[in-house]
Amino acid sequence: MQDLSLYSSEKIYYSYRLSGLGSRFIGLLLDTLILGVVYLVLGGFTAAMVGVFGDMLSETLIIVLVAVVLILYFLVSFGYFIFFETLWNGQTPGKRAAGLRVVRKTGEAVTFGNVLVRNLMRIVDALPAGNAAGMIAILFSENCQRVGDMAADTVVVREKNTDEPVLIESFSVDQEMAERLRPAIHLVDERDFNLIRDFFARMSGLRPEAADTVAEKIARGLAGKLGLAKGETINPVAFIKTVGALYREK
Amino acid sequence: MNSQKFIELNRDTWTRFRGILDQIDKKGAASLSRQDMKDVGPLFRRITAHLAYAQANYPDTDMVSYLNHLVARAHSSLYRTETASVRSLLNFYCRGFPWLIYRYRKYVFTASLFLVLSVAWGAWLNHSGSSLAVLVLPDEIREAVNQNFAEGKTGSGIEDSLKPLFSSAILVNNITVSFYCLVLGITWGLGTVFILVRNGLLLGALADIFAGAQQGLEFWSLILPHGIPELFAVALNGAAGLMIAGALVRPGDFTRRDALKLKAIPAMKISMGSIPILVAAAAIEGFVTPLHIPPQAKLVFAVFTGVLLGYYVYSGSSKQRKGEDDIAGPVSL
Repeated sequence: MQDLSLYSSEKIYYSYRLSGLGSRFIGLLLDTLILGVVYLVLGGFTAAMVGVFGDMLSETLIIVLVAVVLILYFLVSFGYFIFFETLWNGQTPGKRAAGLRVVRKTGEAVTFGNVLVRNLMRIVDALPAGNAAGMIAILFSENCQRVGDMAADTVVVREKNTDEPVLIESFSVDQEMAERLRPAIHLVDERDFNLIRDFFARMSGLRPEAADTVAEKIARGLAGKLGLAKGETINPVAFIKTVGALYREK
Repeated sequence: MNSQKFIELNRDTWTRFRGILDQIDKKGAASLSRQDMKDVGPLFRRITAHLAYAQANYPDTDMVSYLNHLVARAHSSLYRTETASVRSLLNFYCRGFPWLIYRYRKYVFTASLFLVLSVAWGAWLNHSGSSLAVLVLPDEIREAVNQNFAEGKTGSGIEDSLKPLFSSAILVNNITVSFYCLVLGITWGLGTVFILVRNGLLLGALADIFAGAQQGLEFWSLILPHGIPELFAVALNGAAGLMIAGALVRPGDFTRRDALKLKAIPAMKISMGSIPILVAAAAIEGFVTPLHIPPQAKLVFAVFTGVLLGYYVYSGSSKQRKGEDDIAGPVSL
């Protein structure tokens, strides 16, 4: 997993997660399947037309039909990627399903020119067989680019939706414990709080024994930080809740 | 401020912005309501500020990666330099394309030179009876052509019903050859020159055979009506291939990689621009060339296409003389 760090015009750093060989393969596979279905439909349609209406159609019409299908085939095979990547801002149906997007290496949206270059260069990436050149280029280039990407100055990034940051709800707090901890709460920092939040966000998904083990570990660390005497018996979950609630109110 | 408060305070902003981004992705920016359109810029800037604040105060939390994701996603949808539309396409063919050809005319001349010289070479090889002529034009074709002469046929009679098929097959073949011409520029031009010379030799040798059989007029009337646009398109693609080759062979002050990036886009544009010319050529070849009209009429038609193409390219030069630099739009990286 590799990141591409950029400096935006708003003067902040942000980063794209580059997509490696695996996710790009999935995207290409889906697109190839879609193209395959289109070819099948095209071929099937022609065959059906000729088969069913063959007697009624004049020979000229059949030939015109074949000519049109030939052109359509050519248009689809060359135009599919160009069409979608232009219209859907760097995504094809396969890429969208795989959560990928093509962007310029500067982080801007791809232009028609970029899309053209990277897709015509598929001919080079397909050399000598089975997309070998493209795969080697993705593995060894700095930003996981195939030859077409290098020529067009684009990268393929992962765009999986990340979940919204969670909030912890207010807890029922052990008042006595809270009063004892309050003077030392400034020792707890954002990192600890993040840990507490993550723990409660995931607790429901854990096995009870596992949750207890983790809670004990966290509580031990927090207790050490807050200067509680060793050997004091506390309920780990209740303790963490109290610390979380105190920090939250701060 | 602790992260809890920060999230509580700003969560609505983030959700709203995310909704707008989803809408842009699904239905395009044009579908946004007036208010959303107005807000999207300020919202984006506010969120970048949130990201900067979160990076500094809450490092390594999932909030930072969430905000980073929002910013990265928005950046690639909001910052764009050019969108493809019917209008930009029209603009390209009316002004940008001839201007491009004019601007890179050196490459077009070079590619044409390769073609013309190899036509002459092919004719000379065949005329002098060189043993190399067999390589240019295989014996089977030579015999087939000669046999047709013996039967009094010159290839002008394609069955009417087959014309559309013939035309589209020629088109697919020509476009494929053209793409190879362009893409093989990456072999430092060797592949491009090979394709140009091979086609030129073939044409030259055939012309010499026909001339030898006193069919010169007939031959050129068959070749030129579609040949002029077709050869022009091939020369354009050759030029595009040579541009890519030039970037690799002689990158000048740039690294080879940067030179390639700079030249690749205009080269591709020239190549893509040539496709309608190839379509026209294929249509002519399928429908006009086989017509049973006097060869002179076909030659007049050929001259007409030549003049038309000449004027088209010339219009590019005049645009430049007026100093309209901004029509370079489609060329800009």
